Amino acid sequence: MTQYILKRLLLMVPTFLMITLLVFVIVNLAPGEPGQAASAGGSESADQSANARESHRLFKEQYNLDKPVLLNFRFLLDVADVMDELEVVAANMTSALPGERVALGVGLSASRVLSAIHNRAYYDIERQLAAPGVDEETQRRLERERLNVGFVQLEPLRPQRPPQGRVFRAEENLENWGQTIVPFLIEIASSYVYLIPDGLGARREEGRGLLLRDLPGGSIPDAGVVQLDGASWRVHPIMTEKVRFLAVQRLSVNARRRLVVRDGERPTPDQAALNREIVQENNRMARWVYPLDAGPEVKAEALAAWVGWFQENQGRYERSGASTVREVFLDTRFAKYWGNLARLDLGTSIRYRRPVLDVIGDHWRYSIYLSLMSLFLAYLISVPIGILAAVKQNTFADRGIGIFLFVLYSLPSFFVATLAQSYLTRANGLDIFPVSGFQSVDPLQVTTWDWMLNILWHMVLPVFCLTYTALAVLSRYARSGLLDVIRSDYIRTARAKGLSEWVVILKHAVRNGMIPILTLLGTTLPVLIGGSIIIEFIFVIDGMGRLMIQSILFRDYNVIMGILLISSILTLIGILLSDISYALVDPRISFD
Amino acid sequence: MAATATKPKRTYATYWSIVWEQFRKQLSSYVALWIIGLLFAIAIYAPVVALGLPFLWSDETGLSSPWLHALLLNRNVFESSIDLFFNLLLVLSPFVLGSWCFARRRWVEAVSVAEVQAGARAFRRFLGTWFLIILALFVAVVLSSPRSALLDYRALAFAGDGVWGVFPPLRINYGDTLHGVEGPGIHHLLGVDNAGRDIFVRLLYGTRVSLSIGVIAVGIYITIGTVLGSLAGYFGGRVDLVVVRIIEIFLCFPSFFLILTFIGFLDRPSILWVMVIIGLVGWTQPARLVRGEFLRLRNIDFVSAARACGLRPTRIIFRHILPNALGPVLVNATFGVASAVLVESSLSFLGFGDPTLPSWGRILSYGRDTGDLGMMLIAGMAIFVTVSVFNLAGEGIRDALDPKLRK
Repeated sequence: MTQYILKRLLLMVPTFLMITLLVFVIVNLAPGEPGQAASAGGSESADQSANARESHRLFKEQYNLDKPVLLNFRFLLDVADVMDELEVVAANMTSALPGERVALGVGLSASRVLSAIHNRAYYDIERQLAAPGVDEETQRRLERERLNVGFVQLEPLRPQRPPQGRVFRAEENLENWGQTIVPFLIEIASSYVYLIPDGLGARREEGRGLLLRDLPGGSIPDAGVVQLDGASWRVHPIMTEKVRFLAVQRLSVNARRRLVVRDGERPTPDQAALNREIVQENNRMARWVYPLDAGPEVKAEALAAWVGWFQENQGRYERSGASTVREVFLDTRFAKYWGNLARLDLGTSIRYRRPVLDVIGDHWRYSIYLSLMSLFLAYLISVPIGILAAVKQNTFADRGIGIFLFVLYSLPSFFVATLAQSYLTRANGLDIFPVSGFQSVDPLQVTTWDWMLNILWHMVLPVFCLTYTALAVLSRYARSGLLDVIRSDYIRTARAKGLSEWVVILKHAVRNGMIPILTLLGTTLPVLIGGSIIIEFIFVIDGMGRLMIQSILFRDYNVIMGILLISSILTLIGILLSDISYALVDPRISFD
Repeated sequence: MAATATKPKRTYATYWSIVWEQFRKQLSSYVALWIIGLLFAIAIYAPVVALGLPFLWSDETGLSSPWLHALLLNRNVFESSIDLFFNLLLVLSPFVLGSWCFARRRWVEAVSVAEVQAGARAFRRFLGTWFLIILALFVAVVLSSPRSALLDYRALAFAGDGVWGVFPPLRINYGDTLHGVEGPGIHHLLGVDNAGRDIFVRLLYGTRVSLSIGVIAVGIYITIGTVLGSLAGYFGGRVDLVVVRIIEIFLCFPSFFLILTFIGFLDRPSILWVMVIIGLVGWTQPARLVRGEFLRLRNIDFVSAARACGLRPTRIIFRHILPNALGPVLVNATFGVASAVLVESSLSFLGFGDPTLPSWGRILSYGRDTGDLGMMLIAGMAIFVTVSVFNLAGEGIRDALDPKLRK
């Protein structure tokens, strides 16, 4: 027997692992973003204020939603990926640089010609500026002139914008990649250029982004025309500035480090010192940004700060083989989920902002009151009914009971509950029972006796609705269980001994006949905790069922995972318990 | 054909004919089966009773049938795929019924091979005729399509003015909303709900929702369960181990929690999703049943004989063992329909699922919200009747299949 139990317990381990896996998959791969209702995220986040954006980021960080689901392949990212995303965001930026003009309201070819002529003047000024030996006065004059001339961004009739979904995804990606892309961002911020073909009216969409180090010679020649892949290219100043600006802005968010200790724990002195250091560094980073229309000095200053900081802390971003492997497997939602599970941490509820176990602890009491009462009543009533039906088999009484139970079995409990609530409470009909709720008095202000009466009074209708469904099932079990034994030899022997019918039935038959229905008790374990979704919903009892519904409506996925996990583990244990009790009660069954 | 008078009566009985005889002897289950048939008839023929479009319509452009047109082509009246499915059944039902009667007369009474062949020939001719009729019908529908799908025929007919139309008894679509609340009366048999929709018509069309959920969801899970269960039972070993583990894992989840979680995560849960999800969650029970039957049957002589003949495993599984293992599955499926109907109405009662569909659970919850007892009673009784007739039929099949209970 012990061996059997041990074997079963061992078999439970893989089953449990698979259950946790399945729960994870269900919740994470379901369409729709977890916690959508709670965070300010959503499709309209493109024009969110910076504040909401930041709180959305923190939310994602807290619930590990910025991590990939199963495997983390972010070490494969390279600078081109980051540039692509930045370009998408830059192309969508509505704020214009000074001197940036958008040729709207002109036909495509007209705008091409016009802006080509226009931008030639712009590039002329650029060339003069870049020429060696320009004195300060000329430089200032040229810069003013350049501002007046402006650069025409070639936008025919309707500006070409990337689709909103793509922009949203690009922003999310840049945010989620976090620390991984900091070295790339540094490179982009300091040496990114956007090239367009050097010709009559080339358009932005025809251009490409590059780093200076990819150019022949590693810099832009004085003439401003770059020879690359057998074609000549020019710098598109607006896109270049915008992408660099975005890279610096991103850096100030992505390079931030998280504090080493979670909220609510007391840090050791060492940790506190480290935390202080991190906070200081983060604050400094927040200052190393510039507005889009800042002058070249401001930009250079911020950039110098970043490059200096990066050279100091380059070690943080160096990867070894082992750390890469660790990152691939461990820096994922899945791994974090397992890690938390191993520490019996089911996470934090998004809705209640408290640990899931605490939230469940608040609710399961109500469910257990309800379930215990109804289960007790159901057994109390169903066993005599089942015995009566079996003893009087094929009589009028048996048929009557059968029909009665059948009707009970087929009546939907939400229908009965709704009717009872309407007819028997103040809502519409007789004012006998309270409409809903678990209690309507403050336990501190009335005597314990009154309080208990109040709860009982509230429980009458819900318990009734729960009981009659269980009753229908249990009585049938009881009847068939007794019918199985009532024809056996030992019962005939007992009768032949001259025992009275009562003794035969109650002492001999019932003891064996009730084995199946008693072992059913084990499987009711999850129902005890899980409660009944519909009854709790109708009678507004704050038990587990109602918690489940509200968590689903709220996409509070940690709570959903918690409830699914707990109830499935309880089912596992319940099945084991009922098997064991079967063997304990019935000596004919052995598992050896 | 003088021989027909002395045609020998068939003396053998197949397994299913015995089961059918047994089933017919149980009065309650037999009646329940008829009620199920009635429910399906209501679901299929609901547009004959209630639709806001005329069967026949005559105006200056000529004669047309907006009703027939709407059944298959007008997405303004019937927007869900369930409706299209049932409408298709409605259009095809004379064909199906006719063929069934025909096949029954020809084949059940045939005793010789020649007769069967003659019957098959005639049946093919018969099919061809019907095919032509249906084709003609469709062409007629398309050609006689009314001027506009959005025309308000009721108002036009009311105004008179040289047009006339033959309407269904109730000139109401289930999605129609009226202004103001009306009590029960001659126009609205059970009154209208707080959104101004006719309750009786919605109840009528709700049959479609419940029955299709029941049948299709159960169809999905019976299919999955049967295939997995037969593989596990036939091949045993590792396959069996894996399938049994998966079943065990699924058994650990409270199924209603699981269904609710899936449905809750969908952005716009259509009725098809509800079917698929119930189907994906419920397959473990038939899988266990089929596996058990296969374990019992796979070493019985007729299977060994089939194997000795060198038949492929797929043929042995599906042609030799599976038909013998289907009894318990049939019982499970019938009870399954009842519980699927219950699950769907619970879901829509809780407010999950497609809000536009006329589901009974939603009608019940409307009645609850507005305190309309009649509405609650009528929707609840509809659910109760459907659930109980399927349960009754299931019990009847179970008893009919049990050789110990043969009468």
